[in-house]
Amino acid sequence: MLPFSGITFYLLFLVVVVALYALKGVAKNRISLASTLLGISLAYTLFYYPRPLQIMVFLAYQSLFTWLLLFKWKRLHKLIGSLLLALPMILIKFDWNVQDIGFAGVSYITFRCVQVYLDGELLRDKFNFRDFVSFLLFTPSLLAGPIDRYERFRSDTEQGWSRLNGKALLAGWEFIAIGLLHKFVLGTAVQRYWLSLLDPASTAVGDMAANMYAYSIYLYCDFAGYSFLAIGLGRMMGVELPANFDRPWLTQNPQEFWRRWHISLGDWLRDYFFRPIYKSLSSIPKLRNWPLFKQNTALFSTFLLMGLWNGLEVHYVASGALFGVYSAVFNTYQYHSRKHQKDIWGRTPQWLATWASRFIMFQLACFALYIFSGRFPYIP
Amino acid sequence: MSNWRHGIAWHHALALPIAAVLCWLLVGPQGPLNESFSPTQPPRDTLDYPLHGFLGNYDGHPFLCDALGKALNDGSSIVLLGSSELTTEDHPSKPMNFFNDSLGIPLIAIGHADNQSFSMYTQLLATAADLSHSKLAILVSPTWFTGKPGRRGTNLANFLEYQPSPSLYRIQARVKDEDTLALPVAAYLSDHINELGTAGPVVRWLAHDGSWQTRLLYFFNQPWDAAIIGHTRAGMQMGQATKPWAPGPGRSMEADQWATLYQAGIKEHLAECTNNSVYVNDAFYSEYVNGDTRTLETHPPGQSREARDFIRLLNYIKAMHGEPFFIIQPLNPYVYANIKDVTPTMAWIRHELDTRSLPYLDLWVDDTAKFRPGTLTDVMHLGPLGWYRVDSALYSYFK
Amino acid sequence: MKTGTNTARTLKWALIYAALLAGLLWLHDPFQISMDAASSTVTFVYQQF
Repeated sequence: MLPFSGITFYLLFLVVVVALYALKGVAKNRISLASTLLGISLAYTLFYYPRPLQIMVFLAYQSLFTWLLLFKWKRLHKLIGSLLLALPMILIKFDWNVQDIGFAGVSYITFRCVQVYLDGELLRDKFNFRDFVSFLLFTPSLLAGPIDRYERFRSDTEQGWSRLNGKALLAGWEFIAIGLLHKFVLGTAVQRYWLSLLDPASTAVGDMAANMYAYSIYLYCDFAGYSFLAIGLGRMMGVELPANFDRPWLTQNPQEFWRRWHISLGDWLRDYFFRPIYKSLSSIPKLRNWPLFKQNTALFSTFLLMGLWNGLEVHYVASGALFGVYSAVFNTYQYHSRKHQKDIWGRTPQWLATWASRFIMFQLACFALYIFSGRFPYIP
Repeated sequence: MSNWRHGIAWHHALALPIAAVLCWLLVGPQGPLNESFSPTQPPRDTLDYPLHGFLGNYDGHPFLCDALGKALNDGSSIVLLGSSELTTEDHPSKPMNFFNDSLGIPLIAIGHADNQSFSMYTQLLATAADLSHSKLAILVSPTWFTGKPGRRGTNLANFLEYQPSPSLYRIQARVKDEDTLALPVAAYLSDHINELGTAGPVVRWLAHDGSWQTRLLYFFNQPWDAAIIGHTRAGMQMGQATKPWAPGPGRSMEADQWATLYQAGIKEHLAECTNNSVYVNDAFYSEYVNGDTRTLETHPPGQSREARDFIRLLNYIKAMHGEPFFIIQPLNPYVYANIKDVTPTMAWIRHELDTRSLPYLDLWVDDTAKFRPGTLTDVMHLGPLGWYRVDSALYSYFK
Repeated sequence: MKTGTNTARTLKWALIYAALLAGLLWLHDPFQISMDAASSTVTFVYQQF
C-alpha cells in the first residue's frame, strides 16, 4: 500500500512509532537509531510498498554505480556520472519497459542518488552503505519527497535515540494533523465538489479559468498535504525532513515562488542544475560580459529540465518552459531595476504594491500549473 | 516530557474535546448538518429492459450484473460479449445496430479492448444466471492467445472495469461459502496483489489468500474490511432499476437477403481500400501498416494463461447449462507474416468447443486465397462482410 | 506564558480538529457505499513513476 493513502498505513505506523518510543530505553544501548530506521524502511518497502523487486534491483544498481563513481571513477565528468545514475529514471520516462522496471517514487529517489554523487567530495569520508540505503528508502519521503540531502539526513540519524522525544512527537503530530486536513479534507472537497464537475475540454474562458483555479488549489492541498504528512511522520521518527510548502499564495515574484512552492525541489534544482549550468556558461570567455544572458539561460534550462523530469509530455515540458520564462523575465526586470534604481511600482504605496504583486503572481502561477495539469485544451 | 511542563501539549488535550463537542453539536443527531452526514443511497441509474445497445464497460451502471442476470435467465435479449472489435467505427452491420434497428430483436453488446476470457467468465459469474434459456454469444479474438495478452491473460485494470462493487460483493459472498466456481476470482486477485494499490475493501478481502505475505500485508485491514463489507452489503445487493422498452417492428431475413447484404458489404469495404492491396481500410493502412507486415508471438496451443482462462470460461458455461454461440474471428493473412503459426491455436479452440458441443462460426483463414475482402475492416477487426456473416449466424441460431 | 496566546492556540487546534473530524466523516466515511471497488485507490497528484 502506498504511504499515507489508507487507514492501513496509519495503523501500521502508529504501531511502529509507539514501538519506537516504548522500546527506546531498551534499544538505546543495543542498536543505533540509524539501523532501526533502515530496518523499518526496508521492511515497509519489501512487504507493503508496490513493486518491491523493482526497487531492490534499482537500489542494487544505484549502490553499485554510486560506489564506483565515488571511489573508483573519480575522474569521470560529473554530467556523465549523473546521467548514469539517472539512467533507470530516463528509461522509465521514455516508457521503455515501464511495466517491468518502473515503480512509484523513482524520480524522487533518483534525485536523492544524484545528490549523493554530486556532493561526493564532501561526503566521501562519511559515506556508508547503511545510511545511503536508509536515506534513499526512508518511508515518509519515499513516494514523492520532500527531497532531502544525504548529509542532513545522516546528521539527524547520527544523533541517535535522543531525537525521539516529546517535542518531536508533538511537532510530528501537528504536521500530520495539518497534512490530513489539507489532503483528505480540503483537497478531496475541492476535487469532489469543484474540479470533477468541470469539463477540462471546454474552451470557454469561464470554464478554463475555473479549471485553472480549481486545479491549482487542488494540487496545493493534495501535494502540500502529502508533504506535511511526510514531514510529520519523519519528525516522529527523528528525522527533520525539509519543508516543501510555505504559504505559496503570499508569493510576490517567480523567484520567491520556488522558495514557497515545492521548496525542496527548488533548492535541489538550484544547487544541482542551475549552479553547474551557470558555472559552465561562465567558463565560456565570450560570455564574460553577458551575465544576464548566462543567468537567464541557466534559469530557463533549469526549468525546462524540471519539466522533463515531471514527464515526457508536452504539457509538462511547456509548464516547465513557462516557469523558465517567468524566472528569466523577472530576473531581467530585477537586474535592470537594480541597475537603474527604479521599479514598476513607482510611488505606489508598499502595501498596494505587495498585494498587487501577490495577485499577479497568483494568476501566473495558476496558469503555469494549469498547463502542467494537462487540462489546458490548447496544450496536449 | 518537557512540553507537558511548558503546556504546549495541553492545547491539544483541550482542543480535542472542544472539537468533539463542536462536531456533536453540528453533526450529531440534533445537529443542523446531520442530514448531510447520513449514509447516502447508492446511485440508481435506469436501463431499458430488455437490454439493448452497446456498453463499453460497467461505468455508470454499477448494478448491471443484476439486469444482465435477468436477461440471461429469461433470454429477453441476445447478450454479445466481445472486445476491441465492438469499438471500431459505428456501422449498420454491427449486431447492436443491425439487430435492434433492422431486425427488431433486442441485442446488447458489452466489451472493449482487453475484455478477455477471464473477464467474461467473471461477468457471467457475477450475474449468477442459469444459462439454459440464455441467448449468449461470444466473439473470440485470436489476439487474446498471442503475445502478452496470451501470456498474462486479462489485465487487472480491465478486469476491474467490469467488476464494480455490486458485482464483486456477489462474488465475495460465494467465495466466502467456498463456491468452487467463484474461487478463481480470488486467486486472480491474489496473483495481482502487487498491482492493487489501495483498492477497496472487497477487492482486498478477495485478494487475501491466507499466505503469510498477505497476512502480513493485510494484518491491519482485515477486521476493518470485514466490518465495512458487512455494513454495506445490503446496499450492494440492490437490483438494477429498469424501464420497459420495446424494439421497433423489424423484419425477417431470408437467405438471398443476406447474400445481398454480403455483396453490399464487400463493395463498401473495397471502396475504402484504395491505397493498398491488402484489404485494409485506407485510414488504418496509412497510419499503422504502410507496407509493413506484422509478426505474432504465439504460444503452444492450450498452454498459455489465456488458454487456461478460456477453458475456465467454457467449463463455467457448461456448468450453468449454457449453449452460447461463439464467433472465431480471423486476422488479415496479408499483413500477418506468420499467420500459419496461429492456426494450431485456432484448431485447439475449435477442438475445445467441439468437445463441449458448443456451436460456432469459424471465420479463421490463414491463406490469402481464402480471405474474403470485407471480412475485416483493418488487420484484426470485423468489417461489413464479417459483421453481416455474424449477424446471419446469430439470427439463425437464436431464431 | 501569555493567556491570550494559549487561548488562541487552543481555539486554533479545536477548529482544526473539528474540521478534520467532520471533513473525514463527510468525505471518507468508510460505510459510504462506493460503487467502484477500484476507485478507492488514493493517489497523490505529484507522485510519479
